Order: sequence, then structure tokens, then C-alpha cells
Amino acid sequence: MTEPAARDDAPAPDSDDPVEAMRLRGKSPEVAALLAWLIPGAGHLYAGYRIKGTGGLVLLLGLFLTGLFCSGAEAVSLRPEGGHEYAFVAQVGAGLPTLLGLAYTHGKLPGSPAEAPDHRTPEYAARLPAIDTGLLLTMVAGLLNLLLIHDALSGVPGGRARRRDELMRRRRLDALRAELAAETAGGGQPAGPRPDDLGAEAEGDG
Amino acid sequence: MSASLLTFVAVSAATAFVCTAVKEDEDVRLATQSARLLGLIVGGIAAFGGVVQLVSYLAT
Repeated sequence: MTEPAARDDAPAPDSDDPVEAMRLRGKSPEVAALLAWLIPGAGHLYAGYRIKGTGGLVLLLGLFLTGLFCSGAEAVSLRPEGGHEYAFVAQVGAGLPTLLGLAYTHGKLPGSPAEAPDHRTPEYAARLPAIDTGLLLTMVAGLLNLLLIHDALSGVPGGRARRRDELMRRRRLDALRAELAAETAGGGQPAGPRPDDLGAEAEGDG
Repeated sequence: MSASLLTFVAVSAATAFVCTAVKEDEDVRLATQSARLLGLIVGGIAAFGGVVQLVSYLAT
């Protein structure tokens, strides 16, 4: 029986489980998820993924702040009249910016408007397209951040699954080649276990 | 019009990056696959919009 050739990109035994691998690096997935909720991208920065963290921070926080700016912070509102409570369910995926926007809209921050705008005025009606754009941007940012939160909580698995699948395919291919070589050398007599068995064994290892 | 296009591209870029970031961890692959997905999103939606415009034009 010919052993499948070892590959350099095989995951190390202690890094098969991404959550365990993150803990071994001294980082907590729960803390990463909490940070990712508070500030988009912060969880990945904490876990040591600078490119992902910076990308999430720039793109998602940028989207959210642009949405707040477009709408004059009207997009994040839970007022009884003119509030956006359904949108808030999506926006709350971006924790701290949503809470700050909410505090601003409801007059809890210094410099925030003292009273709610009158929704029956033509000036407010003219602002509706910008408020809609703001709603769209803040909701998309909040929903996309849910993916980053889940990713951080899962230990940022990244391409592990893809690499494992590629490794399995290579092992099966190597086993088939070995069997073919043995058959050719032995005059048609199959040598060693069947490729399916090798594949199952390899899957058990992986 | 230009603001709508900018919003569309910004939302598409953020979507492409985040959806790729959860699947990839190598920087080069992250960049290339994000760009590929962004092209697919923008191209697909633009093509769909084009078809809708064409059908509307032919129907009137």
C-alpha cells in the first residue's frame, strides 16, 4: 500500500477546529463577536485579521455613517410618529453606531435636535428620498455585519473548509494513481485497499 | 441619478467584500474573489435591468 503524499497545506491537528485554534492563540470568539457587533470589523481586528477587519470597518461603518449623514440621522428612529421600528431590527446589527444614532435622534446627545421634525411639512417631504437612502444604507450595513459577527463567533474559519476539500480530493487522486500503478506493475492484480476505502479513511483523518 | 448609482456600487462592494471575507483568508484570494463577486453582482443586476428595459421598450 502506498501512503498518500503529505501536503504542506494540510491543516495542523490543533487547528482543525477554528474556535479551538482561536482560543489557542489566546483570543476569545465570544469577545470577538461582541466587538464585531459593537463596531463592524473590530472583532476581526481583535482576532488578528487586519485586512478583513479594516475592510469591514471601512465598508460597513462607512455605509452606516453615510446613511446617517444622508438622512440627517432620521434613519435610526423609534419615535411613535415617523419612527422606523422595522428598519431598526436590521440596523441593530451594527451595535454602537445604531445606539449613537438613536440617542442623537431622540435628543439624548449634546447637539442633537431638541424636538422631532414635523412630518407634515413640505420640507420634510422633500427630505424623504434622502431618508430612504439612509434607511437602505444603514439596514444593509447592519445586516451584513451579522455575517461578520457570525464569522467571528465561529473562529473566522476562512478557507479551511475549501482547503480540506482540496486535500481530500488530492488524497483520493493519489490513492487512485497508486492503485493504477500497482495494477500495472502486478499484471492486473489489485494491490492494497480500494480507493473508496482510502477516501473514507482520509475523510476520517480530516 | 449619480447618487443612486454610487449607492448601488457602495452597497454591492460591501456585500461582495463581506460575503467573500467569510469564505477566504488569504489576502490575494480575498481581493480577487471580492472583485469577481462585485463584477458578478454589478454585471448581473445591470444585465437584468437591461433586459427589463428592453422588454418594456418592446411592449410599448
